[in-house]
Amino acid sequence: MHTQTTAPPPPHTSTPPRRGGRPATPPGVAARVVDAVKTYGSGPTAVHALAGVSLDVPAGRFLAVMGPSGSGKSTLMHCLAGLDTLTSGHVLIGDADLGALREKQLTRLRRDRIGFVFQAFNLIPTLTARENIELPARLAGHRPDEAWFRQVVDTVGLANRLGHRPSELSGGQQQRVAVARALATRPELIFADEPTGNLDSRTGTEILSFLREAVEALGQTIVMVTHDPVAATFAHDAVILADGRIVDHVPAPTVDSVLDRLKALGD
Amino acid sequence: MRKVTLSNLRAHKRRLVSTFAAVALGVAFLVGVLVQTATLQTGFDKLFDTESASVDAVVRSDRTLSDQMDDTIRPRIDGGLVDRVRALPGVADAQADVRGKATIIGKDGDALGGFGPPTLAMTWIDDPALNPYRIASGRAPTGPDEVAIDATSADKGDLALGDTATILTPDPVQATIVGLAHFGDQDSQAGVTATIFSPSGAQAHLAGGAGTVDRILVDAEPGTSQATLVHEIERVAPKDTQVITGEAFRLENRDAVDDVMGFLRPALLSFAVIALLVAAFSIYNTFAIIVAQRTREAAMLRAIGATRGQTLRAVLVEALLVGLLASAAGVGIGIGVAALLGKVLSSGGLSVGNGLELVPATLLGSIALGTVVTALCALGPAVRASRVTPMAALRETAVDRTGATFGRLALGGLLSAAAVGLVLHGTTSESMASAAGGVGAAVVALAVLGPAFAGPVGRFLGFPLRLRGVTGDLARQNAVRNPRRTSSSSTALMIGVAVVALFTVIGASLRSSLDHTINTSFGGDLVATAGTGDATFDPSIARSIADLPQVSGAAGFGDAPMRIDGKDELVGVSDPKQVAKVLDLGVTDGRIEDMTGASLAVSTKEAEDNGWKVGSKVPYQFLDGTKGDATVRAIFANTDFAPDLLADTTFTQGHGAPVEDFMVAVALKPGVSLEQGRSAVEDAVKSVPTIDVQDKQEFADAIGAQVNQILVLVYGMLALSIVIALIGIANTLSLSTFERTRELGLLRAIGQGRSQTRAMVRWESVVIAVFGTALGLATGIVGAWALVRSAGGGELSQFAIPVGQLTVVLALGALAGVGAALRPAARAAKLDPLQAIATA
Repeated sequence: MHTQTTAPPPPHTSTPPRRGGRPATPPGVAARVVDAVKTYGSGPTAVHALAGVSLDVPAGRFLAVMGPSGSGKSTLMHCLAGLDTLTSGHVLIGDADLGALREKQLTRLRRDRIGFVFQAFNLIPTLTARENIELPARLAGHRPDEAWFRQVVDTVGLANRLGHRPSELSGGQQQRVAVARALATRPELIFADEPTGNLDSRTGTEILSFLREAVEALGQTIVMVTHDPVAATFAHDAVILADGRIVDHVPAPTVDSVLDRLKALGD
Repeated sequence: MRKVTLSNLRAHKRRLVSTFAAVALGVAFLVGVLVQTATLQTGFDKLFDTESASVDAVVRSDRTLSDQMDDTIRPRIDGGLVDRVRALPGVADAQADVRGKATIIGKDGDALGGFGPPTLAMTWIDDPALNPYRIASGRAPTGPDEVAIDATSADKGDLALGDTATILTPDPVQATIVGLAHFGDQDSQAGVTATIFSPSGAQAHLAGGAGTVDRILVDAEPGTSQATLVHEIERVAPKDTQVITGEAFRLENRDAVDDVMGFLRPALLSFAVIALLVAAFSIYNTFAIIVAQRTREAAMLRAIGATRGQTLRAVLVEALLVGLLASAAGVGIGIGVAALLGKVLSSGGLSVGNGLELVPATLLGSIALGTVVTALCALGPAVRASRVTPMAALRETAVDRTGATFGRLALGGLLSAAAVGLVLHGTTSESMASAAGGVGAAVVALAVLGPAFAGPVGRFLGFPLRLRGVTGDLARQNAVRNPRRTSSSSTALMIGVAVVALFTVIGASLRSSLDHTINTSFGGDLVATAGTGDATFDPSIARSIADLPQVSGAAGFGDAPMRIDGKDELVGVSDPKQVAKVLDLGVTDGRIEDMTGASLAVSTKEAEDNGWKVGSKVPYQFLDGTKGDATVRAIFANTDFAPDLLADTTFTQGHGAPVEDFMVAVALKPGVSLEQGRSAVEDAVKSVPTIDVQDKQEFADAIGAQVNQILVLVYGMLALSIVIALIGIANTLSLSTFERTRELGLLRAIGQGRSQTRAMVRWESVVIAVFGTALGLATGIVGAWALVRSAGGGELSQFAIPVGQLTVVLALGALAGVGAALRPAARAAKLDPLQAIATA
């Protein structure tokens, strides 16, 4: 089902951005996190959601971010995606330092360079499947790339459902539309937040296959947050977070290897 | 359960703010109208009581006729009676009161007053028991050309003691102002422009030296009752006089006040009712949305054991509390509104100068009404809340796309059928009441059927938004995603706009009818009008204009109260030799020129109704008792300018009631330019400075300006309703936005910019507002059409749609949509996408 390619560059190693010059991710790295700290509150009641995370997201790879509840994995993803800001540290996507971007630029970045698949409520109920898929492009005022659109729609197998509204689609079909939308603008990065959390296992497997397929066949880069070891097996790599830090890196994760590492956290 | 209700109220304060505002504003308007009309009423009652406080008996003629305002007019009686009455036992004093009309010309040459409160001429009476006026400065008038005027008019006309002013009675009199008078302790009698002549002046200028008086005011000796006094006077009073007690006289005056208020109160109240109706829609909508949003909560409560009744009561108690608080606040604001209304009315000259009349029953009643209206509006949503099954707590709530249920369609269909039937009946049988009922039914039908066509119509109206790309498309989709909600929030606006459109179209139709009339039936070139309000001038003016060498014909128009065939009528009077030269009356039989002496020209309608033909003898009677038979000399079809009955001016003069002209229509000889003619006519009327000489266009414009003044008043009265409707739309948007938090978060996450979010909410609002406005315009236009067609010609012979004005209304509606969206859009744009997504 999923083929292991050549050994990936280790995702957890990263170097700080160059001083003075314009920071940028080196070739082959889609996004880079440097000394990311996210603190909620202050003083003795302060909570450190991220306590100094550094991470490179390799381009053209499928990375799973795992960890127990409260480990900071969702915060990390939100900060990576420009939805949330760090207390200190940097997030770089291509040549963009997210901390230096203003709201408008962040919005544009999300629109043009990032794709999202959420756990639920992924679609605008008033729009058809096709309109939902084309939404980011049309928000940008572009005409969607028809050839690419066809390819994406064929990949997720939605060709005959394009005229339906979300309420007329099953949960799995809705998630497929969400995946198609995330792919539609050919973003540099796709973030998937528990994309199978609301689905039964068979439908979930289907969605995960599409994500893997998007990486393998279409050359996309995907970061997926999950606590499901089975979901993680579809990724090329997995990093494990605990208490706001990256505590482990699992290349070519399997259910057993992931479970072992997660269990080790408790010890 | 009470705890849940109260904590709900606290938790959702902001959502209820608009309900609060709608109820409070509606109640405020109602209270304002009720308080101000009560204030006017007691103010007038007091004024009239002051006017005749110590009068114990009044002697006057027993012959009466009704004039056009249904006021009773009486002929004067012999003044010789005064001395005989004064000599009676039990009589402390008896004085002659001669009254009439008098226009004071101010220093700048303009007439004072005339719009609203009347311009009255009266007689100075030295006995303070029989005269409510007091000299504030100067002295009482004694010579025939001396007058006292009320202090307010002196101020307005920049007139001072010792000045000589022109007084039109209507003949111009040069009089010296020797005194400034106060009415009781007020500067004026509710804005009445008062000219007080000395008894000799009143005889000379008002009674024409005939020695007659309008009435005799009698003050009794202490210890003599009014009844005894009346009995005593009746012994000497001639046959055609009537003696009444001072008390009866005061009651009569109070009735006259009631008549005025009987018109003013319902007129003002109808606007308050519109405001409340609009508020009701807003309230209903708010509760409907709140209940929909709380479905899960209600289901959860039901699941843990709350009964249906408890769920129902929870919503109702919430509504009652909000209604009660808002109504109480509304009463507070309403008192301010009353004061404001008072200012508006007094700027129009209607001032009674007393404090606001705060009747506890009115205030408490308004609170009760506001509370009940709120509760009734919440009843439907409350019932819906109580029908939520416990299962709903577990289900995913889908988008409510319900448009129209079968019951709604059936009811709407029935109402529409009734509306069409009534309107058709009204237009074909010229019954305005039927047409008005049809229009009312149509409004209700639209409100009921709204959800059925909010979807398609909203989609259609939103079509241009496609040009704005995906943002516009989303806005359009959002506007129609919940047709019931869109419909009920726009219905409030629809009602307000419908009334605006109705008045606008009727105003334009009046103007168009006027233009049509002037162009088709008016054969003259110039019109001389008396200028202010009810001012008139002597018929000799028309004759002197007719004698000008530049003029081919000039007919004065006035009216005379007469009893024709047993009915009191206001008969139009003119000069039969001149009428045809300036007016096309569409004579179907006989000749107007044949009218001499006791003769009449009648409209075809009047002829048909009474079976009159040319040559028919019609019994008539004048105010002074003169009676006889008048011969019908002509029958005419065109009543655009002339009333249904027309008589020769000279036939009606000198019979108790003054017969004067309010306008002269002038036709110029061929070859005389409009300018030459105008200056010649202006020269001829120089003696009466208030006369305006206008060409056809100016004449039409002047009347049009009066129509516009009324329109402005109506717009002002409707402004509050429109504001309430807009608050309702803003609230619907806020609640919808709140409901779509997740969706907005998603849109922002995948790249919708803040300005795009703002635009999306704004355009949604514009679609809703334009939907309401367009529906309102359509209703108003059709309503006006029905009313115009059922009016049966006359002043409303033409139906005209003022496209420009209505386009402005539509544009304003769209703009109001933008305004209503300001806050909801800002809030939606400020939404943190992360929080929105995280919200479970």
